[in-house]
Amino acid sequence: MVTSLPYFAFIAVPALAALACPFAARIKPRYADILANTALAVGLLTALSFIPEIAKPLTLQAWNMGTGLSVFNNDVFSLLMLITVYMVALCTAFYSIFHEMPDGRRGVWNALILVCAAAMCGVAAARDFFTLYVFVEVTAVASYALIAFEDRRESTEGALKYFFLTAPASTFIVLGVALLMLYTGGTSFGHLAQAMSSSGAGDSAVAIILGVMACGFMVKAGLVPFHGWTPDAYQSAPAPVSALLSGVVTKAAGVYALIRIALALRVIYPAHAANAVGQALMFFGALSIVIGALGAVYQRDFKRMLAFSSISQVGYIVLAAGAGTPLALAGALFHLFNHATFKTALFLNSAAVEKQTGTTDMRKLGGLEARMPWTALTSNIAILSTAGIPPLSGFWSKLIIIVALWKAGLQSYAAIAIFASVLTLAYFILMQSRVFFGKTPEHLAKVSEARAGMLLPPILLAAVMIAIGFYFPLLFSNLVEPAAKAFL
Amino acid sequence: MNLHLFLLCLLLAFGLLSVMARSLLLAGISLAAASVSLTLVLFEMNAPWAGVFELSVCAGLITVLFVSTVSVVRREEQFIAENRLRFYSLPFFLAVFGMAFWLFAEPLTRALVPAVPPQVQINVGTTLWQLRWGDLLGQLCVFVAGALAINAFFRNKNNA
Repeated sequence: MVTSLPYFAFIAVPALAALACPFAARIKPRYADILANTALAVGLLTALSFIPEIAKPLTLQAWNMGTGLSVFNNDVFSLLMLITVYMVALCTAFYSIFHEMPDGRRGVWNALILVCAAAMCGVAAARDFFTLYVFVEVTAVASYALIAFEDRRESTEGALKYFFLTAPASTFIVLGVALLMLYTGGTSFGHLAQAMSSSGAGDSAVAIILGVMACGFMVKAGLVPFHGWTPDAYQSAPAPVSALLSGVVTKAAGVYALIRIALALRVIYPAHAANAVGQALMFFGALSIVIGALGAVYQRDFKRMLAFSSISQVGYIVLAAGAGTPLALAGALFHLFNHATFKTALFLNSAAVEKQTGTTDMRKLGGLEARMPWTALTSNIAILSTAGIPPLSGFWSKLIIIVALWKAGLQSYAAIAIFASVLTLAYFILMQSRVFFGKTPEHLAKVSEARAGMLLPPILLAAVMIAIGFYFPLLFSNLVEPAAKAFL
Repeated sequence: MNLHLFLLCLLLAFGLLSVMARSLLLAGISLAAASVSLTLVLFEMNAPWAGVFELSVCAGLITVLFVSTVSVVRREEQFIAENRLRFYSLPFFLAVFGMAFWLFAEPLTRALVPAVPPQVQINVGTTLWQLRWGDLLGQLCVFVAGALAINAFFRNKNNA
């Protein structure tokens, strides 16, 4: 079992730092940047220090329904989410130092990032659907404010779409939680598992509860056909916020809970491909993979293309979660982390391109490789990793997912995953050729590379992608396999 | 009409008014009235602690926040011309939802016969400070996020 994680500190430290940020900014605006980055860096290092615990034998404490003081989860999945949250939030906060905004607003900006991070840690820590819902809502409020922060017409439109399309999702989640409470007498993940093991997931009441909650979380995750808010919100949000949204917010607010539901399904279905809810997850996951990839092909805006790519990649995670074998679930978790690394890097690079050229319209871009070599290089690495090219990290997580699907007898889904991977490579090559390769248009002749500080997060994330790729055999035996065993 | 149904209708009416009202102040007060109706429902359903929290936090604290926020909004901003059609369609959607609920309520209730007996009553102190303190932490985060969001939006307005 993983040593008890100091969740209270993981949530309270960024929340308290958020309260202090506006006051720090009044003394000197840069103090807010320093405070936010320090709080997040300390959180990330603390979370990383728990990694050796993963190699130890694990149990899913989430299934315990004891009424002791432990209100938080304590498993490997939560730890992975914590690391992902802190990593992406730190990259966003660090990048924000170089993001132009009035000095008077730095305090609130950093405070919102910190509250969002605290809330996502709460989501990762929750062992109960109601607690999870409360923190999902905090994440939504902070994200809404961050999307609309720049007071542009597009930002307001994106924020309103986010708000109006995800608010009904919250209603579905609350309704599902209420029905769970009514049916089982509790709202914990354990109560759901207990209800399923006592009645069977074929039971109509359990099917209603799971269906209602899954609908809500699928909207929050931006899965097809509930993806209407995703491209507009990502495109219109301030650049660092797009990285935060795509890198971790959709995962914390939606995908995490869907995987928790998939884990609950494992209680009665060791490989629950035959189960209706598992099949629904796989269907919507596969649909998202294909529609997201096809949608990306037709986009003319850099950020919008990345948004559709995110929909597609989240589809891989949900598809694997729906398959439900230990290997598939381990693949889902691994891809969740990998997607956070490569999509954060790509959105931060799109922000650098936007800052240096003044546009993200790919028809007006081209030939930036010579003028922005580091941005082009890190973009290439992130793109190849997303497309699943060996030996980068994305290759291994996609390989695990495809092998798991194949071994579970789900060859058709495995074929879709492989086909979409080729499509991913195609649209990203298209994007690279439009943005970084080819002839430089005259109006971009004087463009120069982004500042070193802006390049640092994508470079570090690219290094993570390469390191995970090369050290994968080691990681597999020490991290992925133990994680998979935890789901047995 | 029994008291329970009457209170639920009242809750619905005030909720609708809070969304449809043209005046921000009236909308805020309607929301408070909806909260009071919900409090009475909770008292009637023998959930006094939930009722007290609803009354103090939603009807009290939130209303104070709304009214104080509305009071700093410039008067002319309340009268910007807007298309009201989408608001007038709300009662229609509500009626459709109500009819759907009426049709499906019974089979749903039959499907959701509790599978486990109700738990032993635990006192509110144990519930809040030992079992649900994670939720309290979440609620504090909601307040912080809400305050920061209001700060961000009003700064936008002042800069505009």
